[in-house]
Amino acid sequence: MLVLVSVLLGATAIGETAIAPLDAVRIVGARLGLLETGTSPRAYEAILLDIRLPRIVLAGVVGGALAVAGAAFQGVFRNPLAEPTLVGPAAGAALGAVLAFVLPLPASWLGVGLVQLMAFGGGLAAAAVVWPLARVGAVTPVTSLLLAGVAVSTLASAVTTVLMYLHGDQLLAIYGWLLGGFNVASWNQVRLVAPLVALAGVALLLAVRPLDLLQLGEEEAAMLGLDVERVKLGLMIAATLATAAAVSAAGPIAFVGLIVPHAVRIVAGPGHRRLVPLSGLLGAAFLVAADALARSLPGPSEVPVGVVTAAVGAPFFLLLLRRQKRGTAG
Amino acid sequence: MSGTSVLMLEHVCFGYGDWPILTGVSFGVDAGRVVGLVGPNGAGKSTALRLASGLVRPRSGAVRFDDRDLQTVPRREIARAIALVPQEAALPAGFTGRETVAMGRTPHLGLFAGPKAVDRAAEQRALDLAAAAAIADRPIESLSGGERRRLLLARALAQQPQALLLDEPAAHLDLGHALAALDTAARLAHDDGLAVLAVLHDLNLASEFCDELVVLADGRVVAAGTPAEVLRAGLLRSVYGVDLPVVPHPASGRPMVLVRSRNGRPTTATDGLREEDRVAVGEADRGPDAQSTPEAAAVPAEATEPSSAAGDTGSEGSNGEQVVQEAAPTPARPTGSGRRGLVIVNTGHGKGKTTAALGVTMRAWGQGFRPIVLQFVKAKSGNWGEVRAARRMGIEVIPLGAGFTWTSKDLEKDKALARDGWDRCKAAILGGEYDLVVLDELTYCFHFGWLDLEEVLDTLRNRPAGQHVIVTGRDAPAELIDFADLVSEVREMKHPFKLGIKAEKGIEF
Repeated sequence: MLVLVSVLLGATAIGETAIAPLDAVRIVGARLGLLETGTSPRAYEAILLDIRLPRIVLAGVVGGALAVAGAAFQGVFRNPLAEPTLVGPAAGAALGAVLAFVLPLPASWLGVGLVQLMAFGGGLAAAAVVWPLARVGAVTPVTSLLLAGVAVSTLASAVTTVLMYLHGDQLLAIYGWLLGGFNVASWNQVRLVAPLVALAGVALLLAVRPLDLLQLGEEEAAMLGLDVERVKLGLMIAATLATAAAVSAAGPIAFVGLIVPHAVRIVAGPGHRRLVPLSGLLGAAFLVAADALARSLPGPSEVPVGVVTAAVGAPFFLLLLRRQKRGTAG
Repeated sequence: MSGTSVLMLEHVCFGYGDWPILTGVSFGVDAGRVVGLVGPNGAGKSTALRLASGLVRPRSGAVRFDDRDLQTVPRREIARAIALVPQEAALPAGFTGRETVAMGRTPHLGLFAGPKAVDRAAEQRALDLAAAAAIADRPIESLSGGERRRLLLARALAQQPQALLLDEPAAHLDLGHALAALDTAARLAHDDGLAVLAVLHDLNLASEFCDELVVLADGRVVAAGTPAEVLRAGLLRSVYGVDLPVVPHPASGRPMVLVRSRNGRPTTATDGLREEDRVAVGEADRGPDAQSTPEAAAVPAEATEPSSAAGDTGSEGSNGEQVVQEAAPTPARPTGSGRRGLVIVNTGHGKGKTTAALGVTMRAWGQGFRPIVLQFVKAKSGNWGEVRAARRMGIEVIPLGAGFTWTSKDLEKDKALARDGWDRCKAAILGGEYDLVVLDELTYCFHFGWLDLEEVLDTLRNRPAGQHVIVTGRDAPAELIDFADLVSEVREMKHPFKLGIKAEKGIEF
């Protein structure tokens, strides 16, 4: 929590125009009517409230969503390498987004960017296709869920690639979206994404005990009274909702959902009572910090935030693999 | 196994795909009793246990708890009544023993409510009962296999179930821990009134700790009752295919299986037990009220008289004979008697007629029927693969004649031998002691006119009602084919499923 607050403060200050953290607090406080209007220039106020703040809040919401969903997925799959994008939402969202780019459609609908809407729909649609595909009789084994997810993701990626190839004129815009980022963040986006993420987050927070039980294996969880199939379906719906919302707003940002729960596990143990909420907080802080780094790195334009998370995440991922290998060897 | 058992399997059938695992399995577990589920590998023991836990649903039949069909009971409610202790479990690293055991309280907790004082108390009691309190606060990773087992038992007890299912509670445990685990299970049944059902491999442990045994073989219950009723040499032969003596335990009086190498290496005084360590087997007759085990085991042979009984046990291998006479040499006939027996004819010029007949015979033997195979042998020695296998299982395979061939020099002698052979066949059929009579290569005798077909058919007509007869040989006469209930013509040896014997439903013993 402390980490999150300090990262938030730091992030508000960082940018092409430097604003002192205290000034930032003053401006926000003034807008909320808590503090007296200060002496800061009006330009600072506009930059902070209309550009920087929605971006920070969105990054926090997206980071928290991906990390919480990642914790849930790793719990359901009982696999430390599971990711929230595993069962299709990322590839589906990418396809939806690319379709929005290439089809002759209006740029926005009800004040929300069509790319975002289509990405959200695509993400949910992919997951909705995967679930029945993976079903075997009355149960949905996680292995077939994984395989169906990979198959559907691959198919969606193939279609996405073909579309990109056929529409070379849109390539830069599409590519920019696929890298992920918050450079078009607006309060509108926050208003769309935050409630969905909050809903999914609450659902996952209520499911910490079933998540712990699932760690024993599905059969044993059932033996201890858990309705495994219903719990799994509920968890997957909540986690996919959060993921699709996050991806639709920021593009597929790699590694947040994978490494954050692991980092938390190292510090706080495997119990989901702590793992899920702490993942949310750390994920938010991590992505806000990564985004702040992305927009403040020197260069002709912003570094995409997905590059930053991948640059931090990939080494961590390798470290994890090494530890795992050692674990099974020893 | 009264109708009031807490947990009951009723005519349960189960399988994977087309592959049947259990067919018509029925048994029950009463409160306060330990029931052992025994049987060879692949008999369906673990499947039966999973069915009893409600984790898998029977294809037909029902599993009842307190007279309610488990299929109609929600998972949470089942978890409050029935607990399963798996043989091994992936206990997730990072949790302590106590946290793991606390998971057993899940079915008693509200959906979002945390554990209350009553849950903490149940958790502690479970830890105490399973002798796991001392290891409760250690991380799982630091625990040994036996300690993890105790935690799994504690977790199951934290569910406060009325029925406890144990999957091989003694497997992979050393003798001390195995005895402790089973002692705990027996105490839970006898003191706390739990209905305990345990899958066990070790027949001696099963005999010592269980009040009742249910023997599964080939997906069926082939015997059930007290250990003394069930554990007999005949059952070991028919179910496990082993010839081993069963003796009463010197202290408890319960039946114990004496294992022995099939190589039958004779033991000598030097590589066997030291004389003073031997337990006088004759003392076992004192029954269950006699001394407790350690004392009995400590009785030196000299003290009871330089015991001939002990000596016999030690040298049992030297003459290859069984010292202990079993009470019931013939395995108990399971079900289905009273049905009229079948006449089956395997004919045709392809290979596999006798092999198919022997296959049926071994199956019948395995199910407790008494078969005999009478072979009109073609060659001098008829001791090839399947025949050897059948003999080794203990099936009577009788060679007749001295080798009938198509180019016999002395047909009169062969005729006389065939006549003698037929007399033995007739005696076997009409004598009534066999459930299945195989007349191998009988048709040769018709071919040469050595036997009267009408006489053979008459004998078959007059056979005991439940007796099955299999006749093999090429060119079976039309009258015999008309008479038979089932005829298989074997034409090509390489495509047995296309043209030869098919595994038809209905040819069931």
